[in-house]
Amino acid sequence: MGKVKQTINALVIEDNLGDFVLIEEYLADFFSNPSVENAKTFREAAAALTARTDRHIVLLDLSLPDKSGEELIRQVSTYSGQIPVIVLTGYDDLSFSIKSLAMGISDYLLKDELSPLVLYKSIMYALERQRVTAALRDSEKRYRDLFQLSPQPMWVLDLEIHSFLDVNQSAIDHYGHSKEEFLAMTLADIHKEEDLADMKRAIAEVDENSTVHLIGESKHIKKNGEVIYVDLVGQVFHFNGRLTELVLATDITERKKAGERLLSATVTAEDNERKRIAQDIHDGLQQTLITAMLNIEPVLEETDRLSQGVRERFRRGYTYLNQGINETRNIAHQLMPKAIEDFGYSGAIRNMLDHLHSATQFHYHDNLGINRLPGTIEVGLYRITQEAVNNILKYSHADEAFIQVTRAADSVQLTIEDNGKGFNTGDREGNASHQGLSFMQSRVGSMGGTLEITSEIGKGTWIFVEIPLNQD
Amino acid sequence: MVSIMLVDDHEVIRDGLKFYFEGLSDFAVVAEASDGKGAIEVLLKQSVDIVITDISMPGMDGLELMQYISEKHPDQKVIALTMLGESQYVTKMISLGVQGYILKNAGKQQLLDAVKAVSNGENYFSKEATNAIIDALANKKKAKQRLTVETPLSSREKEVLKLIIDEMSNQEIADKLFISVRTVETHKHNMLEKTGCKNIAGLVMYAIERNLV
Repeated sequence: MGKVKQTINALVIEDNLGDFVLIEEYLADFFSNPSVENAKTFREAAAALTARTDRHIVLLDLSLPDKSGEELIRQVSTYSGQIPVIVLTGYDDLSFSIKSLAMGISDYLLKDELSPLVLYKSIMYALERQRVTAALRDSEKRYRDLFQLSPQPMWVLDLEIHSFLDVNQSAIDHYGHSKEEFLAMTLADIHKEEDLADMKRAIAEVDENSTVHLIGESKHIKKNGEVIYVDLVGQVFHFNGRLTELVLATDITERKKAGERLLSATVTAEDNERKRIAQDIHDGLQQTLITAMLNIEPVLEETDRLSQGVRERFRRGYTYLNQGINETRNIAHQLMPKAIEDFGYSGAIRNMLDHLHSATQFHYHDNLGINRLPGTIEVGLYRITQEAVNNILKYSHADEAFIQVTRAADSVQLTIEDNGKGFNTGDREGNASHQGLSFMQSRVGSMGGTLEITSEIGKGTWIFVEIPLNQD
Repeated sequence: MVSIMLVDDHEVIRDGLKFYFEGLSDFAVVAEASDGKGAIEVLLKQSVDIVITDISMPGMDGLELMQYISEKHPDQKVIALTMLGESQYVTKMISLGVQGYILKNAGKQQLLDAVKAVSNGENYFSKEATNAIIDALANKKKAKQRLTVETPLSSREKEVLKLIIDEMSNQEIADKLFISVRTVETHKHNMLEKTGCKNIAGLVMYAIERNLV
């Protein structure tokens, strides 16, 4: 029998010296240089367990002079802590042995059936089980910590009824709801009504085989009503027999606002520059040209004094000058129509539509009345509309188009629809007409708004813009 | 003799215009101003037969000057002389009571024709101004001819209306048309506004009465 050269450090709680000596011998059979200590009473055992905590195993006889049975097991377990305890007794009672196992005892051995091998196996199983349990506990704690101590909000979502099954501390801190509140909530409590459908749609795509799930951007409402932008990533798994998802939320509100601010600053700078150039053309160049014309004009009345060749050249020059004046007018208008400033969005658009000569019949409707929108929004909506109208004129072949502006309490909405050719919305890249769409997107983004474009071949294109009002 | 006040922020342009009237015994430029405020000061001191004013001027512009004149001197004759040919400016100035509207590069003859006509109690609008008004009117007229309702419903709106009549919820309509609930609400709102109906029930009645769906 090849001895395993493993050492063991055991405490044998046994008042019968004969039994103790036997156990010591059995241990020596399979372990090399076992360190075996004997405690004859519970009191001695308690003292020994308190004095040293580096023992591998405790072997316990169930009847001691000062304590026995269930009470003894309970007390010894308290002192032994993580060290496995194996009960040794002649007391042949199966039901009690099972009960003792339920109390955290590693094994139950009858003295009559004890052999070196039985003892050795029982000890080795106990040690191995303890090692695995400890590792499992560690790993559980690690994962628990990863979830609980993560600086980013995380939660476990039930994918069928959309309720929160668990949330971490960061989610509690970030959203302001307590854990109890979270566990009583569903997705509907953190989403705006209009976004909820999109979110449910994204979740509905998930099935058993999904793993990492890039949910994407969404808006969440905190307990205090504040709306934040989040980027969501999920990991699908089964939890208590239900399909669930571990969701990691990254708050991108600041990043998004910074992007918006940058875009807004760029767009505003461009608008101001356009306005400045338009004004320079209007106040400078145009007036200079008009002055030139006014001063040259009197010559027209006396051209009969000129030779015929010079007279023709003069008339041609005069015509070109006049054409130049008209061109400066158009350029200034294209850059930034003065009408926006004087008549607002509505006036500028009516103006634009009045001067169109096209097969497309445009209908314009708004509920603005005499109320004006904030200046940057008027210019922004004007440029978006101008772009959309250009696209309609150039590409759509629509015979009817609608431009409608609705001012609501906290936002203004623009819809532009036509019944023309339409296009495949999935096929936007590279096409010149669709560069216009990205122009619209950045315009809308600079005002913190949302843009929806739907189009269907043969049915037309439909654009919806919503811009929040009362921005800070 | 017809007395004239020139209102323009550019002196060189006033000079050029003044030269048009030099040597003409029927007309005389008797006053000048560089903006609306200056013009009002002149009008408080003396009367002129015709005010010829630019629209775009720093300080008080031509629109504001015309607003003042329409309230305080409704009989004052005014000709707008401007670089702005957009219909909004033309119609706005006409609604404020100008008798003439010409573009600055129209030339001497047109300006003299305008001044003559206006001094005789007639109106004078240059070709560009007239076209702008006609375009505006034509677009309005076309819109009215096209459909029986005053402000027509778009095809998308009719589509939404049809689904409302089918008793679909906003969410169901949004799902069906691949749009957001928010936009469905906007459509409903716009339809109520355009038709003057007070609620969805009224809108449904309206649609059925007019065979819109």
